[in-house]
Amino acid sequence: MNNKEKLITTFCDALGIEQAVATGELEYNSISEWDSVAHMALIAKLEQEFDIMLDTDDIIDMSSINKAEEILARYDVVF
Amino acid sequence: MLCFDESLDQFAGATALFLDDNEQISYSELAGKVAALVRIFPAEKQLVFILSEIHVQTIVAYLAALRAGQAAVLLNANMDASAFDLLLQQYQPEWIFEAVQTGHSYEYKENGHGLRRTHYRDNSTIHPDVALLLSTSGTTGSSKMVKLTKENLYHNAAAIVEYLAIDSNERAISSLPLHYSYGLSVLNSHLAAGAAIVLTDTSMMSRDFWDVLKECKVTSFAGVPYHYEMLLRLRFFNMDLPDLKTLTQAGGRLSSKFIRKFADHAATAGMRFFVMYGQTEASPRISYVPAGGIADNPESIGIAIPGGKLWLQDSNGNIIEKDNEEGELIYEGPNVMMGYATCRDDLATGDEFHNILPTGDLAKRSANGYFTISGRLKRFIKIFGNRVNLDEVELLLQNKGYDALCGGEDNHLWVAVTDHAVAGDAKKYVTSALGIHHSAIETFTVETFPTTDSGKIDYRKTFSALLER
Repeated sequence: MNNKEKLITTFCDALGIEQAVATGELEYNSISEWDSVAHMALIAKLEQEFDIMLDTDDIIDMSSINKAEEILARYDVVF
Repeated sequence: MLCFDESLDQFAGATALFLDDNEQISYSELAGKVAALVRIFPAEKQLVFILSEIHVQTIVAYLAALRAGQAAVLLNANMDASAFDLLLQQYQPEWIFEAVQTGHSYEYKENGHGLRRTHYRDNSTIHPDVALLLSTSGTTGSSKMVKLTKENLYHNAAAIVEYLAIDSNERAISSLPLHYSYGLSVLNSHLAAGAAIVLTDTSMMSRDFWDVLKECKVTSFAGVPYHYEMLLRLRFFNMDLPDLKTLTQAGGRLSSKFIRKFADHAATAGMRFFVMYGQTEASPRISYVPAGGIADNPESIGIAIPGGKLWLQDSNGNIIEKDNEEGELIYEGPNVMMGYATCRDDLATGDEFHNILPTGDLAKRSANGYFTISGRLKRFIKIFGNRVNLDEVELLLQNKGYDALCGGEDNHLWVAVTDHAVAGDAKKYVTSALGIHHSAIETFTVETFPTTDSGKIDYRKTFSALLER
C-alpha cells in the first residue's frame, strides 16, 4: 500500500466512510461523519499510522483530504 | 436580583455580543431589538418554540419571550424533522421562531429570522411561573422537558456571576449550543454581569474558531469533557492566548488525569480552571470546585453554589452525617425546576419540587466538605447477584489508562474500548479487579465514543449494537 492509499484508508477508518466518498475534495464539516469529534479521532489515527506528531496549526488547517496530503508531505511523508 | 432580560439597558453602550464579521452589538442595541419583538407577543402567556442557533436572533427571541412573559422552548434548529413534528403535536405551541422559510407568513422578520403563528389555538393555559422549557437529554429523541421559572434562571445566573467573579470585562466564547442548559447559563450569567459573548458557530477544530478567539480577546471558555480532550489534542498548553483567563468544565466527568493536566497548566499560565457539576433540572448549576481547590480534589464536584445546599441521603431517606459514606446527592436551592413536562397539559401544573432536587447521582462527602460523585442510581447492573456500579468500573479502567466506557444489563458487563489491541487486556483487568468471571464481560471496539449534540457521552449509541440484539 502506498502512502496515498494509506491516507485514504486512514480517513475511511477514522470517519467510518466508504472509499467512494473519500475523494481529495472531501471537506471538514461537509458530511456528518467528519465533525469535530471525528476530526479528533482522525488526527490520532494519522499520527499513529504515519508515526508523526502534528502541530496545532496543521490540525486546524486540515480542512480536506487534499490539504491533509499537503500537510503530511511537510512531515516527510512521500506521496 | 439580576434580572438579565430586564437590565440590558443598564449596560448601555457596553458590547453585549461580538458577531462573526467583526460586528458588535451593544447592550442598548440588543435591548432595542428585544423590545421590538416583545411588542409582537400577546399579553397572555403562550408557548413559543425557538429553533436555536448560535445567532444573535436566537438570543433576541429568547430574551424577548422571557421579557414578554411567554413560555419559551429552546430547541436545536438542526433537530430531526420527525422528532420536531412530534414535539409540535405534544406541546402545540402558538408560535415558532425560526430561520425564515418560504411558504409561511411572519409577524416579525429580522436578519433572516422570523416569528410566526402556528395553527394551534385555544390551548390549555400555561402556569404563570413557566418561563422556559429545556430538553432533559440534549438528544432529539426525548420529549421530556424541564420546566424552569424566571426566578430559577435569575438565581442561577447570579450564583454563577458570584463564584466565577464575572465582571463587565469578561468575554465568553459560544463554544456550547444555547439550547443546552450549560451553554445557556454562560449567556445568562454574562448578560447579568454586563459582560460580552462572542458568537461563533465555527468548530474548535477549525482555524476560524481560534482566529475569532484571539481577535475578540476572549477571556473565558466553557466546555464539556470532549472539548477538553480536543484542547489537549490541539496542544492547547503550547498556545499563546494571553487574554484567556478562565476555563470552566461541566457536563460530565473529565478523567482526573486530564483534570490534573489542566489544573497544572492553569496554575503556571495564570488561569483559573473551574470544574463544575449541574443538571438541567437545576437551571443547571449545582456545584463547583473553587479554583484553588482543584489540584487536591481532582475527582470532586466541589461545594454547592452560592444560595444552594447539598447533602446526602440513604435509601431510606435519612440524611447521612458521616464523611466518606455513599448516598444520593440532594440539592436544595432557588434554581430547582418546577417539574417535568411531557405534553401541553403538563404546562398547567405548578411547582412540584419546592426547591429540592434528588439528583439521582450517588456521592460521598470528604472531610473538607467537598462532594465526589461515585455513581448514578440508574447506572447499576447486577452480576450474579452483586451490584456493579458501571461508573466505578469505567473509572477503574480509565485510571488504569484504558480509553473505555462501560454499559450492560444484569449478568452482562459491556466494555467498549477505542483501541482493539487492548480489548483483551482490559477484559482481564476487569475480571481480576472485580472478581467477575470473564464470561460475564464482553469487550468490543468502537472508533470513537459517540456523543449527544450537547457533547455528552451517548451511552445508548455506544452500546446500541448490544442493546438491540
